[in-house]
Amino acid sequence: MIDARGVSVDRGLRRVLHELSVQVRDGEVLAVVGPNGAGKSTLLAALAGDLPIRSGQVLVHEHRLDSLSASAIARLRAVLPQTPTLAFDYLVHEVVALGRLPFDEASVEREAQVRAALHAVDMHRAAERPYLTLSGGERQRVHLARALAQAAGADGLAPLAVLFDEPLGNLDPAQQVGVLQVVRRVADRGAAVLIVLHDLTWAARLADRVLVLRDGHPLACAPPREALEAVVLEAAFDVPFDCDWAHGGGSVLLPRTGFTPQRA
Amino acid sequence: MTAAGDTLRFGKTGRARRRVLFLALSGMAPLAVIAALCAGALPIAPTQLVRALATPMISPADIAGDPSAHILWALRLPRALLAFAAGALLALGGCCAQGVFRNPLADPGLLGISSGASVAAATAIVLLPTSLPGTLALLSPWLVPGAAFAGAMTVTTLLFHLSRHSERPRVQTLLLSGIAVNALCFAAVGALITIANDAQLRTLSFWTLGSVAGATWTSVGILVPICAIALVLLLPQARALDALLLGEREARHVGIDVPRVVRRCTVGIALGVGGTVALTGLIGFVGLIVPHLLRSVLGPGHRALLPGSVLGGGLLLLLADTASRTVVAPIEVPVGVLTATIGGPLFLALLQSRREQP
Repeated sequence: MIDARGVSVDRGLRRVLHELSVQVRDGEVLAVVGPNGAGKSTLLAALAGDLPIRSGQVLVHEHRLDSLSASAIARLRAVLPQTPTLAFDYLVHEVVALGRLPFDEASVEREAQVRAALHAVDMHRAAERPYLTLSGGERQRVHLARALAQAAGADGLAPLAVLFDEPLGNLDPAQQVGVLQVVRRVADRGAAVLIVLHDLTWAARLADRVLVLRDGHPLACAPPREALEAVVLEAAFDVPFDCDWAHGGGSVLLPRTGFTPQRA
Repeated sequence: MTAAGDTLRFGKTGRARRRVLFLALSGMAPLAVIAALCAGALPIAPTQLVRALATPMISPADIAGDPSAHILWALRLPRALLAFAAGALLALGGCCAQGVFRNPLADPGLLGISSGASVAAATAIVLLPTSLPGTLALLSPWLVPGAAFAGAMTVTTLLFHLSRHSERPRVQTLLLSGIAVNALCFAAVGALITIANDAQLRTLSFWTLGSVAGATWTSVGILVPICAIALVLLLPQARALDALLLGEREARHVGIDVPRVVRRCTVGIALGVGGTVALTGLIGFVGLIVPHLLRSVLGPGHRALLPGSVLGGGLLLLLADTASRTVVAPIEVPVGVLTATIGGPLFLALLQSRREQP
């Protein structure tokens, strides 16, 4: 369970999050959406314990993050940041094994976890390949596997909360579906999952609840059908939206046709 | 969970290769020491070596009358130890700098860390008294190494602050900062030369061409504890350095206390490089060549790379020093000239290969 209470964050002189309170329950996926600069990644960084917060507090499994060491925090939550880079030629399984650093375990156990994580993202056949020979999408999946290896936790620990920052960049639609399935499975195993997404349709289909942010303020935080109403989206993005909640059994949310580019 | 046929362990070939390389390096180290002790203007046959080494223990009075024992104990043994320790420290420092700066081209010489140490050492030589008064006299041999450490520490800290403003430290920024620091240090040494007296001038000129020719038991006695502290600080950082290569934020995500790791690495690198520069002058490229060559065999993982650099760096400088005083004997080429001759072209090749990468 992630519990943010009245969290404010400043970047330089600018306040980018204003006394935001949000909870992510165990087994739940909370998607965070909003325009660029709304404070989505800042919120994720604050919940991950990456940023000093100006006021309020962040608790993961009822532990205040600011009172814990880096290694203790790493046993409470896993993070998949937006664009990890690596200039050295590690093998794929070595990169994934970095996710097991917080845990004290025998190498056999560690390898089993790494293997399971690689299977989950369908990269197990590439385990011995050098990281730098992978495509952008494959690298993205390796980092996802690293976060999964950490999220798997260890015996005697509550499931780790997992924070995904825009994990669909660089991926084709089929791979996006694959990643979202992985995200869902993590929550189904009992973890609290927060995911920052740009794509509103995916947010509507994946999440149990959606937090819509604008200028560091929440416009809505509710199940997708309520949070992603056309009026809320227009207020967030300044563009009118078409929301079809029963498009072939799923939802489709897109800016209104007249506002999308038309062929001359 | 795991599919059938998955029971093979990861990295089997890598582990085998690592084992072979470590066996080879550990086997070569004693051979290189024997070669360094035997070779020289007065060759000592390996069969005589044991007797010459044992002379001080058996009959200390004989040492003056036995040229081989005297050469061995007064010159070659301290020189071999100093060369090995200096090479080990430079390679280990380079390897850690590459990890902390997340850049395979980071070398203490190119980044200006060595120059920072040399300026501080030169300042100590010119401006501080050669011996301290009274009970402090015992500390006199530590003045120059202490100053060199402070200089190396200043530059390393400065570089780290310059490089951490961007998410990923850019190689151009780092190397250009290195050029600026090197130029500044060159100017400072130039200024010190103009005010130095003759004796100081002779000592100063020793810095421009790095060499272990001045090795004495005092210098070994200074470098060995420095080496021990640097090893204790740096070797346990292997896993943290692996994680740090992903980025500071990502390292924190997997539980690394980044500021502590960076502090320990900075002090360890500065101690190693500062201590080495104070006692041997500027010996370039060891910190670049050794980790680079080892990485091609061991892979980038620091758990093998750090101890590998200690062995490999020690071995390289010991062999280079033995070659530098025997190949064109009786002329002795400063070992810094030799390492730069090998390292310069290698660095260019490395730059070229990185440019071809996507």
